[in-house]
Amino acid sequence: MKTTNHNQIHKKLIFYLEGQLAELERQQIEEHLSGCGRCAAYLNELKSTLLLLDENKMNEPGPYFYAGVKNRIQARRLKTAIFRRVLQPALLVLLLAMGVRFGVWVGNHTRIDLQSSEQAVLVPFDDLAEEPIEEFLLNLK
Amino acid sequence: MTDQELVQLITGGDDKAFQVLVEQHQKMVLHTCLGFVQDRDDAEDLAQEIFVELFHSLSKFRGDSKLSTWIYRIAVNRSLNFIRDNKRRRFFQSIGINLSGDEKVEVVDESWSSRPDFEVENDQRRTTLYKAINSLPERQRVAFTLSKLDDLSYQEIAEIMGLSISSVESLIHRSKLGLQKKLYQCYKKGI
Ligand SMILES: [Zn+2]
Repeated sequence: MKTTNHNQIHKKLIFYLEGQLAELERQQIEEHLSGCGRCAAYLNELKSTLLLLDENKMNEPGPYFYAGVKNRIQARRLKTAIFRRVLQPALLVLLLAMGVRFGVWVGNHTRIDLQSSEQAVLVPFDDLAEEPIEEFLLNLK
Repeated sequence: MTDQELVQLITGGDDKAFQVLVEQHQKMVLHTCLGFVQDRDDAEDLAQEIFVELFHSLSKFRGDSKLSTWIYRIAVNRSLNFIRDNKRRRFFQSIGINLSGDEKVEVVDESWSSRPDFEVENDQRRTTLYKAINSLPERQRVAFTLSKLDDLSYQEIAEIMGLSISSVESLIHRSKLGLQKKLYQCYKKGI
């Protein structure tokens, strides 16, 4: 019996246990298992391990499962209500106060900017730009 | 009563109808959660949260698929999120940052000393089995769990995962190969 044989058998054991192999493959595996204690022992271990998957289906929800769900829904509703009635207005007032303060701050700073920009506009004032060209020609006479 | 009728009653404020929906699906949701989250208490908490989410999103149910398919989809997504959050929490704990603030004290299980051998053996097998399942790539893990732990058909899994039946077949085949390989490695270490 070659070692590679054992490995090839191992790969197929999970499918063998589930009855998913073709007839010929199934026969080959059974032949090997009847002469190889090592692979047969592993098959037993694999079978016992995979059987544990069935335990999952035996679990039942607790007796107060629905009550628990309802409590959670109510708790979430209460949280939302508190947020809407208390936190949301408080947040709005805070935002408003911050807005007003920001407005005041911007006002104070732009006043200084305006003064400097007025000067900047006044210096390069050009009459020609303000007077229509026809009027300018008439005044020449 | 059809799925659509039941949903209409619930969205119309009928509490009894919601109780019917929970009682019809609580077992299946719990089993799905247990497939991903092996701790019984965590799984039940998660299952209840799934119904809360369901309650709030029922108005979005259009009836394109079966209600149970829709519920499975939410259950799988929430379970995967739970696992990701847990991984993140464990990572932060490993580098010394506790996100939730509550310290979970690991209790050493010494009950094995007074238990029969086969139970101790089964505990070891269970640990190995779920370690192997949990190490599978995410989509293989979902397909395998829905197939082996929830007993769903390939057709149902395909609908839940939004895949073709042949993709599901391939995912489950690869998951079994992966599982077999990991289980054998553990077996070899143990002997
Ligand atoms: Zn062999």
